[in-house]
Amino acid sequence: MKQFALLTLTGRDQPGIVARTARVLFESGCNIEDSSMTQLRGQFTIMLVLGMPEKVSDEELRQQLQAVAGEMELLVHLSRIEDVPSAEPSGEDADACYINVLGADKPGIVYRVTRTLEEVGGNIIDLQTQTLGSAERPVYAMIITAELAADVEPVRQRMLEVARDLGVEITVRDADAPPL
Amino acid sequence: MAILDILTYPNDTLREPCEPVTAFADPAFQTFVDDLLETMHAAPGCVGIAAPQVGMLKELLIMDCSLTRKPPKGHHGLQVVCNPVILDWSGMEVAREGCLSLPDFTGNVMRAQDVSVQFQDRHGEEIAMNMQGFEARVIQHEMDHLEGRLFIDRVISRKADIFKRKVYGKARR
Ligand SMILES: [Zn+2]
Repeated sequence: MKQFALLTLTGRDQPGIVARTARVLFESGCNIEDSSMTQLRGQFTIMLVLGMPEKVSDEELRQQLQAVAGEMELLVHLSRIEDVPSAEPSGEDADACYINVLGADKPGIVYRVTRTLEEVGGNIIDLQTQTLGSAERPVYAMIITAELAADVEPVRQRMLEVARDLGVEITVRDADAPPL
Repeated sequence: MAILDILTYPNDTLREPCEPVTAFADPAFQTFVDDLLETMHAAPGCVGIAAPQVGMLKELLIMDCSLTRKPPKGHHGLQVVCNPVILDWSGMEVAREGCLSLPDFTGNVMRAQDVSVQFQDRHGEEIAMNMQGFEARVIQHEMDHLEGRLFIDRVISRKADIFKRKVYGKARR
């Protein structure tokens, strides 16, 4: 059976992090099955699901990664994972929606929105936030993609309440997509 | 009339550019239009189909936004579109799309919000109309098929933008 591992590397961004990491993975025969790599405020974060070759032990791979990590001051974490679905995400049979939040930055936006989503049985597939605007007048933007247990309408109603309480704008869009 | 087989990715024909429709008076062409219409109606939830999706490399597509669960305001209902050209467009919007030729996935695609299109109907009559929102998205998606393009070519981020398809309900007929 195919073996998988989750690898994360984080650290202050500089050119070459991805290339040097990818080189180690390539040379050790690991396959990058899925990846998310992004820069957050000067920090670079890499999250990978690796298909693991049989010939390399976790210890060997860790050592090789550690050589890059030491050189570039990165934190590395490697752990085996099981029950990896062949295609992702697992949204089969589920309705999905996008939730866009935009408003003045204030404490609790992420918490209130995601708590409400959990209460209505939603499951977050992707969440990204960004602070926009000037330092004096920051604007907070959050985009969530979520799978829903039920219809999108109750989610929209609940999010309207949250939007009123927080004084932000929340739009909930049905991710319905008829075949074309 | 007949329900035609829909080609699914990967398939070389889906990648071929189409030839303009010229033989409007040919009974075989008119029969093909009827078959394509029947094929669209037989596919659950489907609101648009392009000729190359059934292996016919002609600049022909059929769309009908009245077939959606919540038909968009101001849509033009059933349109048989031959030799379409986009004259003008404005606005950009990202939304999720599905495709009969990629039955297992949906993806987020950026499209123009408003388009002005010129085309010929099934009898060769010249028509021009403005389409907005979802209807504009449908014709842009179908016109991509006429050039051998699929929505996956326009997806930016696989992680955030491609989703395993939810299953559509039973066929309407
Ligand atoms: Zn399509």
